[in-house]
Amino acid sequence: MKTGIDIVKDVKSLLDVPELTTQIDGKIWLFNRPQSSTKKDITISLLTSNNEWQQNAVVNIRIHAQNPPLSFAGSKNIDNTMPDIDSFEPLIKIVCSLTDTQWKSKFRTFVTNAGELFRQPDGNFVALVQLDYYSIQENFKNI
Amino acid sequence: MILLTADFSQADLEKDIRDSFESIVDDIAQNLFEAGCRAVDLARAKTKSEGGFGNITYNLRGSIGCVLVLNHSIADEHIYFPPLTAGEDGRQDGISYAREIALLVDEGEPVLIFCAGMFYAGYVEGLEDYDVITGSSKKLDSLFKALLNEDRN
Repeated sequence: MKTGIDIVKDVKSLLDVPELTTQIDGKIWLFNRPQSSTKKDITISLLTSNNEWQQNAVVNIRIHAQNPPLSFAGSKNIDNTMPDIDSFEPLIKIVCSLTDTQWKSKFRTFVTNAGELFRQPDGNFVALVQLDYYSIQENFKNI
Repeated sequence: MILLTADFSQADLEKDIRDSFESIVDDIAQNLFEAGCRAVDLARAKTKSEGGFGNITYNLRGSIGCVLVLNHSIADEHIYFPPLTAGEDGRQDGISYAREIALLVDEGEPVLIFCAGMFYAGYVEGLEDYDVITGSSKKLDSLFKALLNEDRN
């Protein structure tokens, strides 16, 4: 049986590769990131899971990036309400490529939400990549 | 020599086959709807301490429900959004949202629409990790199969 932490660690094993980690200045965190973090972080957490013979779980991968300070012609104000598309776009693509249709010996993952942007209460945007995760239970010896 | 003649026409035969087929589709559709109702009950019953969400207005909980689209229409008895003591606005939003989705997916076959109608449901699941309907939707298959097996037995 895979516990919630096992599942999240499995997904982290897919993401913890230089192709992705060199693109962020923060870290890949399990479940949550430090509240004060202003870096480009990735958090992996579990939305739901079951204990069927083929365990099925839904995993949320969140990509965090601060909104960039922008200035526009004709205005002296600095605008920081826009998402950091330049950071989100490559990160979403890398995360999706590392997690979509992955058939590993102990589990499989498929992307079901390929990077939806949400605005958080503090105004910063976060990108959500959602996965379906499957794992056949090894403790079922009679099948 | 024996001569056999049918006391029914080709049209009668086709009508019988069509009626039987429609009866099977209706039975399956009814089971599908009942599975949806059970999934709705599961989703609504999931508390925050079980990985679900909390209640402030009850709108999100009230907006969880299902409808069955059959033969391009939704019969009143195939709308399952039971009222709560609060959250009536959410319930109405849920029904409207399910009807909107029905327009997009209706192809004549039985279609079950299981939804949470509040606009922030995706945010609650995606950013807060609170299960709204995803966990229950994963149980739809087994609920449906169990109902079909009950019928067979």
